[in-house]
Amino acid sequence: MVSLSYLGKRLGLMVVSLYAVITILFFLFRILPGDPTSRVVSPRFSAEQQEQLMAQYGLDEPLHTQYILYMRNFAVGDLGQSFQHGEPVLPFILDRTINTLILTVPAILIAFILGPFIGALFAWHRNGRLDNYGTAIALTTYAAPIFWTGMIALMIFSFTLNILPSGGMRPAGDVPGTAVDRVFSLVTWQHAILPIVIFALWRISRPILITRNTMIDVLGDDFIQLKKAEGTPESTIRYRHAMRNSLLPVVHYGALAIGYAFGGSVILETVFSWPGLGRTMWDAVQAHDYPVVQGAFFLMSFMVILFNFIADIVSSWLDPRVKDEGVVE
Amino acid sequence: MNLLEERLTKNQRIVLETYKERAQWAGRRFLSNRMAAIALVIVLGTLFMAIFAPFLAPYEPEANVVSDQGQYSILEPPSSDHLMGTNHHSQDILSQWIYGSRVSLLVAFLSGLAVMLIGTTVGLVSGYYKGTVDLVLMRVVDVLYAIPAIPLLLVVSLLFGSSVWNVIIAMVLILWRTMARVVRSQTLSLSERPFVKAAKASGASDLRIMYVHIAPNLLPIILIEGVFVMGSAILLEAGISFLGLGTTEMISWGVMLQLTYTSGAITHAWWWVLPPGLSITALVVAFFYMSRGIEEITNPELQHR
Repeated sequence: MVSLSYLGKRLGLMVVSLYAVITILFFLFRILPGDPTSRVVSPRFSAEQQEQLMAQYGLDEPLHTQYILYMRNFAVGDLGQSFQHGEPVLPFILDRTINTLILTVPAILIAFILGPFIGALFAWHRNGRLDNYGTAIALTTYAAPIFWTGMIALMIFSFTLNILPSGGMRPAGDVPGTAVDRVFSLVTWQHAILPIVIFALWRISRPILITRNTMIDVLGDDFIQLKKAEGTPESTIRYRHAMRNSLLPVVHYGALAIGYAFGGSVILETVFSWPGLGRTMWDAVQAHDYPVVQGAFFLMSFMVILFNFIADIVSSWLDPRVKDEGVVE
Repeated sequence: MNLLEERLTKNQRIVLETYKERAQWAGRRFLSNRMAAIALVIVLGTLFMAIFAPFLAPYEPEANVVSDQGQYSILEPPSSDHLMGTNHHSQDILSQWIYGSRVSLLVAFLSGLAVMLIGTTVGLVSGYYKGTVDLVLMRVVDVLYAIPAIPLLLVVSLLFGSSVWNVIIAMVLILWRTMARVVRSQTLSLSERPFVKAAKASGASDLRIMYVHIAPNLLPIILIEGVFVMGSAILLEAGISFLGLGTTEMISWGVMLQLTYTSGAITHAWWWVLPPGLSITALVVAFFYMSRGIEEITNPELQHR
């Protein structure tokens, strides 16, 4: 059971964090150097449009009024209008987020389902050859820059062997369909294979190492010795008893990983030209499309905050001893 | 024995000797860990390369090399003239790679040191004074955990321009969060210990207690986290440079990889793609293993793992 006071405290922290992030964005995009209006209204818009937007976002008002208006706009989901195509930012970036989920959800599922089994195997053979080399390889997959492994994958599978597409989400010239069309399209998944594998490979080191280290502690517990004495088969002890009792930190970190995946998608999607949230942010930076950059940053930050919250609540629900530990990265 | 040591009292000399012995013991333990020793060699080797780059690099990193036949050597695979081949501007890749080590190490050491300084100070203050100060500082840390690193670096480069300094400043601004938490929780328990109470009773100032009495006990964990941060900083710099928004004033391994990508050379120029990526990976793994090596000295239980 999750205690109500804990839930309330965590909710409070979430609100404070969101408030702080929006305030930081206000400072960065409205107050710091340069003409703040140029950050909100594109010089390319017509004079009429510019005036209307100036009034809508209160740009001719004093700063504290602007700040209140800014907060109110965020609260109702009005994140401004894109400089590149004049559309509202939020629906646009939410649509791109669906593309990001096509990559990150399968990748994180693969990493956090396979990872614990590999980690359990390492822990069982700790300090053996498998464990030593395996741990080193796991650390290496984490340390290898994801854009570099992505480039090598492209070089091998797209340019040399010619068996997988070299980026993007669909062949050039195809019109993007609705979100549902995109998710249920074979072509999409064909394009998604490489980025998913590369992202999963990068993410898998944490669940492996966390399971390994927790399980080494669990393996020293009395109940494992008891199971051994009872003559329970080794694989049953390893997976049913020891691994299951080591999963709590993995579940916690898994939830955090989903939150951090949105920010991490910038590099992944740039390498694979994948039209997701990360690539959209990068494009917007190139085009000096301030409202989209700001909106994408906010959404990525929001995901981190949300999944930090979910991670803590799930952990404390699975194990009531977890309390007041705050977020552990 | 130098002049300073002669002036010390007998007691102080004994303390100094103990510290020396402990440091030597720690050094031996560190080097007896094979992975940590290899990691140290990699980091020192890279440092050597970075310092003596002008003497080691066969060509100027930015020079467009012309072959004996008077032609530009564009995208040539490795040969005896160019051990790592050439790039699309007929520049020598080996020379660029040697110079590129400078950015990685600069970023690693500067961010690492700044994080150690800021994180330790915040952690000490928070854990020592407790109460409202602690509450406020820890909420700031909580908020920092909500800020994703690469997007922040993107925003900073958009608003303030891309340079290696902006990259370092932006990274340090968020990376001290873990250090602050770790130092705080240790300080909380240390400040209840008798030696701190004794120092307080004998009238030591808060600053002295924090930095002279408590901090030295935290040195191992500060180093463990600090060295780990150095590895992460290298990865972040490489990432933002790959996006074309990082270091603009110097050639870095991340910038090299960005050029292979944007010039379209990744279709075949393996000699250009492999070296920078391999060296980033090796250096980051080296920092991680050094961090682990320090952890194993301070927590011998880990060695049996």
